[in-house]
Amino acid sequence: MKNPMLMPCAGWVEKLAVKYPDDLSFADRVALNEHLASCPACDTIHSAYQAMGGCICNLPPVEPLSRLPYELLQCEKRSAPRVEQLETTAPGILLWLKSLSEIMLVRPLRQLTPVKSGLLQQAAKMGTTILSFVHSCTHGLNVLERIHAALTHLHQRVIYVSSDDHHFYALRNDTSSILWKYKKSDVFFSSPTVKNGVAYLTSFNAQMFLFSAQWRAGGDSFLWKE
Amino acid sequence: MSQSARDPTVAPVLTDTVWFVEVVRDAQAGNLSAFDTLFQYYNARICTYLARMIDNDEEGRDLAQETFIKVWRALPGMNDVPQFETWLYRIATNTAIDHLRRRKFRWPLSKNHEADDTSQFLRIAGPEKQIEEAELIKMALAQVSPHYRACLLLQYVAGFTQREIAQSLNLSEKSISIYVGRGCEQFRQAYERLENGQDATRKRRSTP
Repeated sequence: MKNPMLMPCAGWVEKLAVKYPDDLSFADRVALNEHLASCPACDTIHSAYQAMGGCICNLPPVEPLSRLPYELLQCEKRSAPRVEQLETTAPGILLWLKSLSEIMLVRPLRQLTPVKSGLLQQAAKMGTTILSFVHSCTHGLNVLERIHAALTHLHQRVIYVSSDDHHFYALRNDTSSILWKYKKSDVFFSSPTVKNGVAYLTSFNAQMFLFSAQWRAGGDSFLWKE
Repeated sequence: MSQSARDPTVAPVLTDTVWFVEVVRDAQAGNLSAFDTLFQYYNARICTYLARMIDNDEEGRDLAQETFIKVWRALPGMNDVPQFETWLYRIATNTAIDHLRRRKFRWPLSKNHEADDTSQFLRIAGPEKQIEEAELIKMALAQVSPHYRACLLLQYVAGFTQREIAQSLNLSEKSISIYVGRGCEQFRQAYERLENGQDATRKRRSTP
């Protein structure tokens, strides 16, 4: 490559620059070889192009990346399917939600009392709703926020009633069906107050009762009394 | 990718195997381990390609990182699995060209800076011939227009035929043929100029 003023013949530059045989048709290859034999300038440039290709190929390689980009690994964590995320971050809550529908499968309804079977049916429906709701939440929230949002959504659909039949009831807001109830020997005094997932109420004998406002499958929601 | 266009004495490349297609499909389905296999296979080549495209090894690695992230994100939408390699180089090329546009916009004096580097290089006494030659080639390559440079590098570094370059850059084969020809000619002239300039500097230095 020693003569910068040397110019290839018009119309031949493209063919001179071809590296692989298949980039030219057979007829073009024959024509190129004939031209190179008769044109010293193009022959020199053709050789220069071949040498040039070798030089570019033989440049020392660049040190590669040590591993997959960190951001990519982070992206992978973020984009994992949401139910899997729930399984890794909140296994207890997810198991509870799943159990609502699994109870229906493992224990035939006819073995249960009508009240219990009704409760379980409602629970299963609600469990499915919660799972769908959590699953369809948008990207901006983290998993725990989504679960909290789902449970808040659920709380808003439950009303708590203390009755003079010595029972404390949790009822569905839309159908008024009983979700769960708690029986006490004495009569409950106050109307319940619900805050941060806990229902508070007091009885005539000055006892304080705390119930989980979260909906438990199968069991009562009693937490604590003093 | 068609292997017939390549040198028949060279062994078939991995990308032609059923296994490779399976790996691409797994990566497409979100398997990060499969994607890591692809990353290991292309990592060095993409880094080298991008470093040559923008004439900077460190920035080339940064762009390679950006390219792999883009590839991971776009992979589920890729339709033609056997053409993964040309698709990958298309993303790498677009990333490099975008970077060159940004660099030109932000630092319009970078060309002068390169010229300074060149003259500084030429002032270095007695560098090894091989290193000198490599630097000369890199400088000449940097003077080729970005699109022509991409074609040259895809032909010589990635080993693509002109048909594959056309697929990779989404251009016609005729255009690629013209681009490669012009790229070669620009490179040859830039190399000659640099080499002559270097010779002249050496002569001046050796004159008492």
